Parts: sequence; structure tokens; C-alpha cells
Amino acid sequence: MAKKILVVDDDSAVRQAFILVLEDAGYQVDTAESGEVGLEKYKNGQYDLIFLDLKMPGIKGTEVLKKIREDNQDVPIYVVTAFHKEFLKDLQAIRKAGISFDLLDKPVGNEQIIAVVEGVFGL
Amino acid sequence: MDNQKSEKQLLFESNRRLQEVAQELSIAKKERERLLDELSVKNVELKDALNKVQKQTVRLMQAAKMAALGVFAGGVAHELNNPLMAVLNYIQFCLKHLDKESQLYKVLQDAEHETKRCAKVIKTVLTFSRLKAEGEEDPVETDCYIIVKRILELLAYRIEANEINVKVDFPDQGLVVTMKPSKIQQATLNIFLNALDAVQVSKDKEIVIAGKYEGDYAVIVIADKGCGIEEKDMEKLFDPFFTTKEAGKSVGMGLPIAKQIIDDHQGELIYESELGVGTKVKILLPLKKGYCAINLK
Repeated sequence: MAKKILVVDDDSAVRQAFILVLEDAGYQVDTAESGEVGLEKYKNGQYDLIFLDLKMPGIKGTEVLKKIREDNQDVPIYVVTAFHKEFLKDLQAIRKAGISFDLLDKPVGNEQIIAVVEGVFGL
Repeated sequence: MDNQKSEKQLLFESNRRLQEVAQELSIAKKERERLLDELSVKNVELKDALNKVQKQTVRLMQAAKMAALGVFAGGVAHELNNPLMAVLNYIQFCLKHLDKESQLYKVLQDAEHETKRCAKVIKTVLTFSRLKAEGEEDPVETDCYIIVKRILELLAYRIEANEINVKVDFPDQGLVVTMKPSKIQQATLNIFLNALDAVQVSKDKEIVIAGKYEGDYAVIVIADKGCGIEEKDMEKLFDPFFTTKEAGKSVGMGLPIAKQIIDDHQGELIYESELGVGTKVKILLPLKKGYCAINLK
């Protein structure tokens, strides 16, 4: 059974890029265009990995991260952003609170996405 | 007789009065000279003050201009980042599925290369736009020599591979300034990288990096015997995206970033250059009030 990956990003081009790369590598990909939709999809699906944008209209990525972690400590979450400097204090506070996540600096290329996925799934 | 006596007396009085007036005039003249001297000193002081105000005004205007530019550039860079990530992945997806021998493959490889170049430009612009906003580093007392040592360690391979002779001359007691160390390291690195490029084609591949105290400043001097800078380019040195290097070799943001960092430290960046002879850059960083070389140990 193919591993299921959720991509939460408000930019359709970014979502499309993830779909292209991940489906081509044999993974099942779900996408969400906002934090709200992302949380809804998370509740209704079992995901093996989540890629999460930070700066989105509505619920911010940091809030989505906290809410998912309240429910699930295990699913790997990669925060994909070019805004990590702007969100530095938020991210530091989250990490201090024991909430785990990894960081990917946008723009992320094909090889890096695959390297992350293979690293997470131990391939 | 009486008349004669009276005339003599009158003459004597007049003479005495004349002497008194002459003396008063001499005193008045001296006083005038003293006042003129005083005025001249005040004039020099006023000119200095005016000069300082003018410099400060230019600096403030420049800082405001750069801050506005930073916000604008940062906004544009952020907007470009997402589509750029998509384009990069679309290209890489096509590359993955194309015959490596096809003409399309080579064209797409070029497209990938250029897209990565755009990503690099955006990253540099973001660095520039964030210089003011980043608040994660507090100023600490740091020895400039430590900064220079780190840079030389970072570039050790490049220095050795290109057989560049780097002479380091810092005072034994150090050159301590209250600074944001990673920022000053970035500024000094950007300037040093230009020196490395400048001596690349020189006969005399020598760079001197020295530290000294100069008045109220600690000064890091980077002097190269490289190609030098054309006079017409001197005033554009700190303009964002200005570069004399080959296309693709430099974004032209190294010196604007360095200038912004030094300005944020209330310092000065002074360039002197002669075409074909070399370039000398002075990074002036203000010493803490009441802080001098003697107190360092």
C-alpha cells in the first residue's frame, strides 16, 4: 500500500509541484489549500508524512502544527517555508514546548523532496 | 605768562588724552583680534557641526531609502519564491522523464540552471531585506581578529588553491568592539570575497587584512593589490545589483549588504581604489563610549 502524504500550502503551483514529484515516485498525495482544510483532511485521513506551509491566510502553519501535535506526536511534519526567519520566535517557542517538526527552506527541488521522503520512510 | 602756562597745560592734557586714546585703541584692536580669532574658531566648529549634520542627514536618507528598498525587494522575493519552486520542480520532473541524449534534455538542463540562479538571487535579496528585521542577535563585545580568523578558515581552501598571499596584522591586545558578530562577519566576508576576486588575475596576489584603533573607531583594513575599481564605478559600489563581475558570477548585493550592516553599527565603510594598483577598504566600527585600547587587557 502506497504511503499517504498530505501537502498543506495556499499556493496551487507549490501543491502541483509536490503532486508531480511525489505521485511520480509512487506516493499517494492529498493537498489542502489552507490550514483549515488541512486540519479537516488530517482528521479524516491517516497520513504518513505532512508537508506544511507557514504563511497562509486563515490559520497559520504554526497553529496547524500545534493542533496536529495535540493529537499525534508521531507523524513526521516538514515545515516548508521561505519565512523561517520571520517565524523564528514562533518556531523556537514551539520547539521549546516539545513540539517536533523539521524545516525545509523554500524553494525545495525534486531531489530534496525525494530525499526527505526516502529519509522518513527509511528507503 | 598765565596764558602760556595754560596753553602748555592744555597741550600736555591733550597729549595725555591722545596717549590714553591710543592705548584704548590698541586694547580695542587686540580685543578685535581676539574676537576675530574666537570667531574663526567658532566658524570652524560651526562648519564641522554643519558637516556632521549634513553627513548624518545623508546617512539617514540613505538608511530610509535602503529600508524602503529592503521591504519592497523582500516582498517581491517572497512572491517569486513559490512560482519559482513550482517551475524548478516542473523542469526537474521533465528532466527525469526525458532521454538524456535528446536536445530537449540539454535545453531543460539550462533552464534548471537558470532557475537555480534565480533562486540564489532571491535568497540574497531576502537576506538584504531581513537585515533590519532580524532581531535574533544581540550585540556583544567581540574581538575583530576572531571574526577575521573565522573568515580565513572559511576561505582557506580557496586562498590556498589560488595561491593568494594573505597577510594578517592585528594588535596583540585585540580589537574589541560591541557588535553583532555574525553580521560583521558577513559584511567583512563580502568585502574580502571582492578582494579575492580582484587579485585573481593580478601578478601580485597579495591581500593585507589589518586591524587598528583610529580615534573613536576600531578599524579593519582590507587592502588588495588587485585590478582596482574604475572611477566611474566608485559611486555605484553600494547600489543594489551593481556588479562589474561576469553575468551569473555575482548578484551585486554583497556590498549593499555590507554597507547596511556597517551603517546599522553606526560605523563607516570607506573605499579607496586605483585602477591597476589595488583597492583599500576601511571598515570603521565605533568603540563603546569611554572604551579605549588601554582598557582592553
